[in-house]
Amino acid sequence: MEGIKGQIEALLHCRPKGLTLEEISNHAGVSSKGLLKKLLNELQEDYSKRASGLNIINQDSIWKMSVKDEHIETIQEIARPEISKAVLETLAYIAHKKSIRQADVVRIRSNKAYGHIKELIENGFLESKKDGASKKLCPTRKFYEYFKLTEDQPLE
Amino acid sequence: MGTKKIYDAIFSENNIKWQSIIYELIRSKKVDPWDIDLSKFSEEYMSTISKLKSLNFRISGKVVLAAALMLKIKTNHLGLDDFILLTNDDEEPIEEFEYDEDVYIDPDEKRILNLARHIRHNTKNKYLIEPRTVRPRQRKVTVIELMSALKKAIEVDKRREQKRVAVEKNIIPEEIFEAKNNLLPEQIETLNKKILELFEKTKAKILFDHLLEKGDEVDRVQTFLPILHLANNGKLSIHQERPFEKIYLEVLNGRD
Repeated sequence: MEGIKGQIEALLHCRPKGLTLEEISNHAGVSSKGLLKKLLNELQEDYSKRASGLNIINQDSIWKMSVKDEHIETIQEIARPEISKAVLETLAYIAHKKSIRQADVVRIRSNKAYGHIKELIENGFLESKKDGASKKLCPTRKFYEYFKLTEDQPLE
Repeated sequence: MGTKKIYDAIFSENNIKWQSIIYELIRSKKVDPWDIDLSKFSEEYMSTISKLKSLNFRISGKVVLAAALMLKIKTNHLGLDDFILLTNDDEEPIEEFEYDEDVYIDPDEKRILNLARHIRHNTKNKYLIEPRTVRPRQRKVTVIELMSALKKAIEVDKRREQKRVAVEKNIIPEEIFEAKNNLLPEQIETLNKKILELFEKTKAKILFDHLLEKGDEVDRVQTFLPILHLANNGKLSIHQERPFEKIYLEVLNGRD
């Protein structure tokens, strides 16, 4: 069991973007998803027990090895943020408005906002709903969980 | 098993080229080129050397070359190129299987390398995780960064709004030129006739300024829009060397 746990740890280390259970199963050569889930939970607990700077997280069914929140400030200068500056500005603007037409975002943030919106939807930070000819954009639950904010909290 | 076969191929003293044998072994799938134990390879070589009464340099050269080829194929397959480059920081990056036009390469050897490259390309998707040790990691974005991004985004929003208001202030509704309403098919036809007449006279490129009547801004726009239509229909070609310089028109089809 410890051998498989080590394999999982190595896999998570090598893929910063994380892996699905299916991918872990393929690469580790373990077909039992139940066993993998048990080992992933154990690994998660191991990391939290040993006061490591890292933790194992499960975000939208993606298992990842990441730096614990309390150490983000320490690594701020040496590690790139996972959302680029321009994309983050677009996200912040949409979150500030709570709900806004895509056309309005593009008018304010330029044509590049189309790419930003696409990336943010793909990463689960935004959701898009049809609103006549345009689309309405709103921050998702993942956005609030990620930044530890509440939906009723005004962003300003 | 694979190592033994390749070893035998290299050490055969007959005229069959060992490169051809390796190629055939890989092609017929009798040997997995990714599963050759290089340590066994050198062990067998050492034991043969000790059996030989005199050292055969031809054989040792062949072994070194074959081992180097196998190692290169294996390294590429495992995606360890970056690892090798990391350990040789001062050296120039090694080009992958580049051949110098002037250096003779055995066709069979070339075929082995091409085959290896082909197999590697086709099996690439199986190896989604590359065994690289150094990987830049990305970190989570903090709420402070989100707030500072928001501050910047709001500043941009305000700046754009101020610009928009400033532009709108200068617009006098009576002076808005409605191009669509003014652009009638007759206008396009009239201008086309004018251009063709000028072309008949000069048989050269026509200066846009020669088509203007008043020469003011509205006249320029009113004249240029039909020209865009004519150019779009393939009747004209528009030339301007640099922005804001003279515009020349070239008649493409001559008189209709």
